[in-house]
Amino acid sequence: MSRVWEWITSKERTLEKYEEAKKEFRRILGKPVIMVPVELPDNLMHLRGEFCALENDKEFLKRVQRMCIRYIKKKHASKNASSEPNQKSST
Amino acid sequence: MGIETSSFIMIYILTLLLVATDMVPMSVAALIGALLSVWIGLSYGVFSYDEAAGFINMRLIGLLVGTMIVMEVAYRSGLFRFVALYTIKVAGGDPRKLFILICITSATVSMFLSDSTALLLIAAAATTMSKIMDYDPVPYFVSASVMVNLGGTSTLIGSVSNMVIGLASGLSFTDFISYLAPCELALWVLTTAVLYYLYKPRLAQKREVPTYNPWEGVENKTAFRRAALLLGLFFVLFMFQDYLNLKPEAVALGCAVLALAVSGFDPSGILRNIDWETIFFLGGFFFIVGGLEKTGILNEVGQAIVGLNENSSFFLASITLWLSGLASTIVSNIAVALTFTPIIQALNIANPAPMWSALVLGSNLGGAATPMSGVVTVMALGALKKEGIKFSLAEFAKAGIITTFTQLAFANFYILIRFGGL
Repeated sequence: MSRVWEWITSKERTLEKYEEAKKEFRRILGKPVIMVPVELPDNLMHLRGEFCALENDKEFLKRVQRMCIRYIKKKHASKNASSEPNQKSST
Repeated sequence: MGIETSSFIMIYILTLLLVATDMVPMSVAALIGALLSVWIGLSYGVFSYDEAAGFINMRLIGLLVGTMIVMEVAYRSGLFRFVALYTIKVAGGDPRKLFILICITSATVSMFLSDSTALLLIAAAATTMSKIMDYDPVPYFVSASVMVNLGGTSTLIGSVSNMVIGLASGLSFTDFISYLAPCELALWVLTTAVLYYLYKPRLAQKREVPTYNPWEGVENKTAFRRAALLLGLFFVLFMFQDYLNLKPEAVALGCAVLALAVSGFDPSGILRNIDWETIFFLGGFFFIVGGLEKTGILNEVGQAIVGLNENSSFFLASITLWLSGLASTIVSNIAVALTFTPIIQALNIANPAPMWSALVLGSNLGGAATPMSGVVTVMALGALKKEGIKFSLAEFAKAGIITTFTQLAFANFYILIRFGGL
């Protein structure tokens, strides 16, 4: 039976539509992910290798994640604070 | 039997073997068969060059291409993605409810889209949802492939084999619905019940569904509205084609031109994405069956079937149902429809409607019996492999064979009831 399975699945199938649809469903159903391009400053060009390695540096990614949370919370809080006086004045 | 007849039978069997074993793509297999058929036919004087050119049914190609363009536009608009997302939302994280809704949605979406596109869309939704909610994806995958194969059995444009039978028999869109819709709806319920019974132990506990809006899947709302309107117009025109004195291919091609003109999508992208593999397979197979027909062998097969019991149309319809159903479990249902069509036409019986209905049901229902039966199951297995999901082939075959034989038995019962007093 395993040989039959191998034979059936050995052929390349066109699954482009499947991949495209999956990407769309993941975008809507899954956790949102953002990709932000970060450029290396000119004066740090000698650290090119270290900079590129950050992409897979778990510690770095954790810090970025924490920084994102702090930033978004702060921004949200200041947004609420600025909208509250407006609401009070309108009532 | 002359050497030319034997040669045509050999070419026919060789082509079916090449398709069934997947040694070459099905379009290439049919084109090899076509080349050999034309060569033998012209060499032995079975048909002339002009007769060979007439083997291609341009009406059928027009209907197929037109329908594919309209459905591709509807697919790109996000209409079917919206339906899939809405289905998941309505289920509210209940795996049992979701299972039933996925079954119904698979069959519904397949009424519009080609079987492979419908399966890939539903499979993508099932995989994503299973990963997020930690469900076992296998029950959803297998059920989707069985239900996608079943969906569209009762409409003229529901599958390529239906288009072949519809144009050859002269049955209109409404004839198809009136003869077959009750059977298809009953089969939806019956098949969903069988699949639910088979997979109930593997469905997980209720989990919280992520918060989302199905409209997020629609990037261009104008294109979405236009596609929905176009699809509505497409079906209304098919429903009233008899009153409007329109041929099916005229409706399909007219709507396709409208779709290309008003959808706002790049026409070259739409034309590139239509299923050329099926169109070339059909084109090639016309020559193989045309050659067989010219030798008179298909007529002889038809007369042999009638000779079994010429007084009972129910018996002839049952034979057609089971022969075409079993043949479709092994070879492409398009090939089965193209082969049986000239046989039924040659029978010259007073009321051929039961036989056409039996052929529609048989050629459609056999397509998901085994992992090698048709494009739907092959695609489902390809997607399962890509996801690295461990899965037993025997389990797939078990679900396929049980549902197929249940469907064929019920279809036989339906033919007896629907065309009773034959």
